Amino acid sequence: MERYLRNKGSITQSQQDLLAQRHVVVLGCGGLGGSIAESLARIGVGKLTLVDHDVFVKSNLNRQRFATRKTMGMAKVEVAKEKLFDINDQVIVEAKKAFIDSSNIYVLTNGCDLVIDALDNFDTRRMIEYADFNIPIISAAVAGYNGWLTISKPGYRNIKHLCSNMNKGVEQTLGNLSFTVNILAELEVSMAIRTLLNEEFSFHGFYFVDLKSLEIERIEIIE
Amino acid sequence: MVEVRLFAYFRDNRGKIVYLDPNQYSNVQMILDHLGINLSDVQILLVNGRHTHAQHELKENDIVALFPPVAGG
Repeated sequence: MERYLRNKGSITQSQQDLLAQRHVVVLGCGGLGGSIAESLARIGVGKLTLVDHDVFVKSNLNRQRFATRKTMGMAKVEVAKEKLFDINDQVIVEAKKAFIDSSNIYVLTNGCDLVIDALDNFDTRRMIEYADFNIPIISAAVAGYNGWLTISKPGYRNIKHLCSNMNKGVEQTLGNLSFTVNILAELEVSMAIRTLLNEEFSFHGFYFVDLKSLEIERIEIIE
Repeated sequence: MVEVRLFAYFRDNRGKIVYLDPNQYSNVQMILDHLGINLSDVQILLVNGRHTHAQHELKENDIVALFPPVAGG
């Protein structure tokens, strides 16, 4: 199929067929989530569920993929769904305008193959890891020139290492830069695709990204 | 020496790695004081890859790693 011609060589036809059968839930549809959703749709993941309660505001314009002057005030997940249909109409996209909490997390993730954390706070991240729904979670966060990336699954609960008692981190003072958000989003996608294609990531720890020194360091934690 | 690995903005004006003598800086809190980093600004504090606390006693060849909290999306 011409659409996926430039995936070939790195993704075999049988892997492409496998991706078309996969269902990914993206929690958060802002800076990380918008870019992740676009990339997953372009590469050919069969079904995406996008969850976010928010609408676009002006302060999103510096980094969020689907934030434009025309989409101000519109629900992020609805805008994303429409844009993704323009990009790839073979992908089934569910838009759920909802605040993610412990009352709906099981329903939102039911039956999916992978959850991607594109959230913006520690409380919800901690909640999804404690929810223990037996589906791998790929997780990342950003602040200024830095970000972290990890995967959490049974036996390897890594999000807890990163979560502070506070709900927010130093992004409150350092902000969220477009290139940092997009690089971390694509690192999540890279790990997601390999996970969907049955590659195992089993380690205790996380990757820490520094875009001032252009480094990605793997931090191992001994439990 | 103790190797102190700094991450994110902790590197600003301090560099990526600082080596300190454990005889002079015998626990993590003394290192934080020397570097001018508040414990409350540290989210992840590792010594030799294990989570620990500021009163952790340091010895020769220990590796300390310090990260601030990062939660944005």
